[in-house]
Amino acid sequence: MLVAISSILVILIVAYAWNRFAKKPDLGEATGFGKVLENKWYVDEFYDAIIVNPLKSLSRVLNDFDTKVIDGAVNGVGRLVKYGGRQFRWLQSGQIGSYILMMVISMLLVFVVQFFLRK
Amino acid sequence: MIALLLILVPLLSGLATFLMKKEDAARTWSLFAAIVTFVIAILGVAVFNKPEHLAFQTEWMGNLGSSFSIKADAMGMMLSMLTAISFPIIFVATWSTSYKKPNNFFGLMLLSQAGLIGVFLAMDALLFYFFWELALIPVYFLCSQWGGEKRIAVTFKFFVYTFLGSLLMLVGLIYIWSKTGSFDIAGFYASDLSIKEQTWLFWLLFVAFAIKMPIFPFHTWQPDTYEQSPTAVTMVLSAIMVKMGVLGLLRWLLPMLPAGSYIMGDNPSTLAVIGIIYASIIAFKQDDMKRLVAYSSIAHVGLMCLAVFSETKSATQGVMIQMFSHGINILGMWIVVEIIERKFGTRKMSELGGVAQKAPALAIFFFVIALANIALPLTNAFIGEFLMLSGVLNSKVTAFGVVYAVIAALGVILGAVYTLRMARKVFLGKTNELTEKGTDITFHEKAVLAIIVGAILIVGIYPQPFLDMMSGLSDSILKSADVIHLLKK
Repeated sequence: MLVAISSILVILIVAYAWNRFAKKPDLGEATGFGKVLENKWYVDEFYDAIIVNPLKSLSRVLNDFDTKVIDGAVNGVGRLVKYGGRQFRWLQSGQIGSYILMMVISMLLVFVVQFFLRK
Repeated sequence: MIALLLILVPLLSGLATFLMKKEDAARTWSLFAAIVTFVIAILGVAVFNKPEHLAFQTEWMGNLGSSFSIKADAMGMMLSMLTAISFPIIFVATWSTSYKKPNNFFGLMLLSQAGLIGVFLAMDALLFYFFWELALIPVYFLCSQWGGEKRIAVTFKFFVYTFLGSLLMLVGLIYIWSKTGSFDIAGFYASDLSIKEQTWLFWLLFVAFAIKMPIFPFHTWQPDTYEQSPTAVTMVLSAIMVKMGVLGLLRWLLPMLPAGSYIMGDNPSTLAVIGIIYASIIAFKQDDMKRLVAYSSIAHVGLMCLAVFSETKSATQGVMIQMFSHGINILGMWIVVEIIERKFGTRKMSELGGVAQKAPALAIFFFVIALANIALPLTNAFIGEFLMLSGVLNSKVTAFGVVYAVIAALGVILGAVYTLRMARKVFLGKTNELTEKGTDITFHEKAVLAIIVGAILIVGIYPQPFLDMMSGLSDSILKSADVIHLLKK
């Protein structure tokens, strides 16, 4: 019974489709539900909106984060060392007087530290 | 004896290469040396059941408690095999690329091979450190002499980065030595350090290995260095050198500091999982093929690190198989990148397209390699990744096994996204002005790619012999790393 009904339905639809499209194959602009079907239920647009585009923007953000923040921190350490080197270079002035002054200051520092750290 | 030859042949032939002034002579000689090393490695696998041939020990620095002790266990043999098979492939695949001062280039390449095999076979901590640096130094010169435009800055960063890690590791090794009095690996395993000592030693060693692998957030040297190095060197770095870090975790860190690894294990696992997702998403945006493969490699290595700290048998076996598979796959990727760059003069995906129409054979090989990069069934990476993910899922040492496994599996999906995007942008679509003049690959390029694809399929279809080979070693690593039974007592 079911088989018969569906077979008849199929034959009827085939006959209708043949009648409708065999003579006039050019379709007009789809409207309503036809338009939804023409755009494949908008599945591609849906995926684009909820997965593809967010992934693309996340990818951009993370790439900037990687090159600027993480790599920036690594390069920053390098720059800091360079900068420190440039500044500390002035200590090596070649003047014996300033070397002796620094020696005295460091010795005082050692005494102070030792005084406070003594148990 | 075979273990010793595996190191000596590349070392001596590398030194000899420096003396050759003619380009052809240096090139042919280094290929010959690499093939000899490969044959020795095959012999090593053939006599694998007779361990006496695969070990060598002699006096080295006796008063420091260090001896020249090398042994090829399953992991060492397999990674030596990977190194030995990679170098002939690298030399043949880059046969048409010419270098200035070729004798120095090939000499340094062979020296780095000796260093790498040494790292894989060393059974003495000081010797391990020695080879670790021996592998690094030639690569430093290779990148800084023959690299791209920004090579000096990038190589300096790479060197400081990895050398910092090496020194931290050296401090850790010396500390353990001060407790045991010998650098022998067996003594290190039985060092009996307190839990507090193990916890901070864990970080000293882990950071060294994490930089080498690399694990997020220690990875920023890698995309730059891969991009700037000549492709032959990038192949060595990514196919073989990153395995030094994974081997370090499995052979040195985990059995040596079991309590430290147990207590701290969730930290590297979390970093690894973050790295998998993070690197996969960044890979999606890259336009330079080399940078894309570099980020993809960070994601793959992250999964290996995660699996190591899950401390299950299937994950450990998976890591060992995956070390070999990842090496083969990424080597294939680089060969394709190298061929494309040589043909069209660019690695930018936005400038390429439709290459499959002009070079169908290259496209076929590339797609098999790309599918292996995604870890599709029937490819070698599937075996490794499946074992690793199932091991992580069933891990008894962490409470977050399921979370880690689910997030890491997302990485596989993202892997498909960025790999297929590259396939589409480079190989499919219409040809443009640049790719229109393309020609297909030559016979020797087909031959090396066929070897790679063959290795991908063989391991992917019948991995059992490899799993059997790794089984005993996995058990013994996990036995030394096991602290749960101690806690239960």
